[in-house]
Amino acid sequence: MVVLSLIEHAILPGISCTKINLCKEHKEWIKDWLDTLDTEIGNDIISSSNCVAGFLAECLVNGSPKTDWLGLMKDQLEEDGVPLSYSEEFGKRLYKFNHWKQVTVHAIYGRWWIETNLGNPNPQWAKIIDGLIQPNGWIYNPEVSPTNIRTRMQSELFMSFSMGCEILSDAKMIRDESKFVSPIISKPLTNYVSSEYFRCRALKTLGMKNQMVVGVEKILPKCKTAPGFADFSVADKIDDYMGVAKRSSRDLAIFSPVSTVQALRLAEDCGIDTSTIGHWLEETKSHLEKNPLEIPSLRMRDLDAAFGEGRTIYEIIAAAHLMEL
Amino acid sequence: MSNEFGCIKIEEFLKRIKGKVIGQILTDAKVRTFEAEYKIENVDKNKIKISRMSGSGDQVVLPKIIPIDREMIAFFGLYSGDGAKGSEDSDNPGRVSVSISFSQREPNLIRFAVNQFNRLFPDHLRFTFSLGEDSAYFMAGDGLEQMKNHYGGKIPSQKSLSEVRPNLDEADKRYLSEHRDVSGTNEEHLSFYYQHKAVMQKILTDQKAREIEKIGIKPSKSIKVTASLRRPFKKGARAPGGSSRADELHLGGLNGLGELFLKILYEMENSIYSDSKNSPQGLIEWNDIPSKTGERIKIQEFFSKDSYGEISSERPTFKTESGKLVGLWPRSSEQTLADSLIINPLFAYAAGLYMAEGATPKSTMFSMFARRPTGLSVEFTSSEDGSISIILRALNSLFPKDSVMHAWKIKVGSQYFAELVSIGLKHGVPMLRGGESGDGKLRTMEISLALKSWGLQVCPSLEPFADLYSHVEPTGAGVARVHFWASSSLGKWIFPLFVYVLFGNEVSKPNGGFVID
Repeated sequence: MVVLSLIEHAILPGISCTKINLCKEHKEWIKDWLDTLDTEIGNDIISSSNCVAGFLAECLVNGSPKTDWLGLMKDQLEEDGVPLSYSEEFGKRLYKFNHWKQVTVHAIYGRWWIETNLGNPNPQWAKIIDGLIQPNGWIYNPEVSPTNIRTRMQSELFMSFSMGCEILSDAKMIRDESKFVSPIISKPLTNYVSSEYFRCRALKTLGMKNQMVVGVEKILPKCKTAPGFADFSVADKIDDYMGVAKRSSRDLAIFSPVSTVQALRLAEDCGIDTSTIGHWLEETKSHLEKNPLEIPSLRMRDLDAAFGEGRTIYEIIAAAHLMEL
Repeated sequence: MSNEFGCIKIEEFLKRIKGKVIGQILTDAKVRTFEAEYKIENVDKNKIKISRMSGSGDQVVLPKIIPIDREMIAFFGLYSGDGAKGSEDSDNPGRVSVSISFSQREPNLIRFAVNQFNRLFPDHLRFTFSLGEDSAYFMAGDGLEQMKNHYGGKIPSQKSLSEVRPNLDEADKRYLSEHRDVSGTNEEHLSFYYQHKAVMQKILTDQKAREIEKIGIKPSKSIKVTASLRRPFKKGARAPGGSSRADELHLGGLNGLGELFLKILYEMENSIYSDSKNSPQGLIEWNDIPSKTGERIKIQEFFSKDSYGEISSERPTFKTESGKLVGLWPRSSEQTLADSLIINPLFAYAAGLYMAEGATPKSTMFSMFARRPTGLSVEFTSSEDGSISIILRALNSLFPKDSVMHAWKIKVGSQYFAELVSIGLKHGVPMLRGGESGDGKLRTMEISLALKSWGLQVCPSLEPFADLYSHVEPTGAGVARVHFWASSSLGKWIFPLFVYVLFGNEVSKPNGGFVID
């Protein structure tokens, strides 16, 4: 398979992996991850997010994908012509988790993204996405997640909308753009980098960046960590119901390369001055050049245990990209 | 057999450490320390008077050596779950000062706690029963109805905020500036609060007084009843008429003694957890290794003859299969059981702790003796391995290991949703919630899987059950914590024993001996 350049994936803006020169640490880490993934694939333990990451990772290491990711997706992540997030064996990684069979926007996007990079996206995916547009205008599958809009995560709403928007736009299936964007421009500014980045990305896809909500320049400094960015600001943790600040004095927002690439793209698209963006980037690069693998994990209050991994394949790819900029 | 398991060596301990009590607690994922300096005076051969070195607080007379029986152990287990562990000193983060208080609503457990406090501190103890509520409770539903009755059938028309509260304080101003996704304005809500505050407090105070009278406690000089009312939606009510009730029992006459009390609690818990005859600093001394000391119960005999072994006029049947005792309650499934168990310090502590923190409805655990129970699920939640471990070991003393857990999950309060979203982004996925309100099983497997190792690190006792990890569950409030559950058929076996530990010596006939609704 020859892939000369990649279209960027919504999670990792700006990455055309075939052009990245990897440092030794990142290269070894990615190879180890691919080895582990290979074993999982051998046992049919497959997820859409891992297929996308595997595709990207092989491009980084080899210049092009070496695994038949599309074949795997067709075989393990598809039912009745519809993409799934997880294979049945992946679903068994959680005990009696009977919700593993999920048709999600990001799984459809992952399939569309890989097919687009290989040059032949199935037009069917746009039709499925079109069918997932809810009466309220947001794009999600209520059969997977029936949660009402008020308590859905904002980042999820904007991410799914942005991904759906790309697929529909590519298929030229958006008829009334004003109506289409109304839910995302009606929602007030959030306190999250990812939400605003995905909102802006969707508007940019439609050529309507001028409809972006105002105030992004206030969010970014709040989500700034040393180095780079986190997705949220600890000080802005608000109880959705009670409207009051949470007791968060012992929590830390920590550096995430994924959030940093999203924050930098958001800053660029929202007109933050280039010297500020340049300063943020240099600081992050400088840190990663000294410590390429120093990507911390989240913590909860005083407990030492990592609250989820720090280094993940998406974080390493984002870090490698930041070092290249 | 003697009901004495060991003793609390108050005098010897305080003399040895020269009165300086230092301790560390881990609650709500926060590591905090407490410290207090005490002086002691000899009262007579058996008693000492304890007070703070600084002279502040109360002087409390205690036995030099306090014997420990199973009720006292269970009481400390109960306090471990429902008792106050101190409030953080804002000038000294990480340091807590401790006043003894207890949160519980179930009347039988309140009566038990009051009895145990009186046994532990026999002199000059005063109790204040407090009912806390969000004033939004009175804006609709039952609360509104109660208020209407109080006003004689018609609630006075709403006054403006400037009429009922001409001078706003800082808390009022802060309240007005906050955003809430509920109907009405902050100003309307605040004026409602001040206009009806006295009436709402009176309704709550009367209600609490009626409730404690049912368990034989009457307001008096040493027993007070109060109500604590919060501004609408500040305590946790999500909508008008919503309740966020909290029942507190505050103790007077023990000012300054909170740190010593906590020290006793944690020394006891530590020695039970590590199964050591002496607690880390020697404050507790058991008669033997804790697991070997206590009252042996023959299971078949207990459930065939003891009044606590009868549930709703029914008893189980037994048989022996492959040398193992197998019991069967009517309409339930067969359960392999230990032939006997020792009600040792661990089992007694677990009984109290489960009464406080277990997810089983408390009222059912007392009403089951009189009427057929439903919802006797065995479920427990904690963010501390000590608690999880003690409950699992107690269950394992009666049931085989493969029965004590059906599955476990990690509950995460809304305060940590931002972290869950970030974990999702790190794995290239959004956070998809389950259920209409979002409180169901988290749909995004990557996030659930990412937190599994956190759960196992925080609660290593779950390691043998690692394969039974089910999912992450977003909840309204609270830090991330582990929740496990077992088959509900276990409830009819373990709960009678837990209740027996607390009340067996006080209530001879559980059918009719407890206050039930």
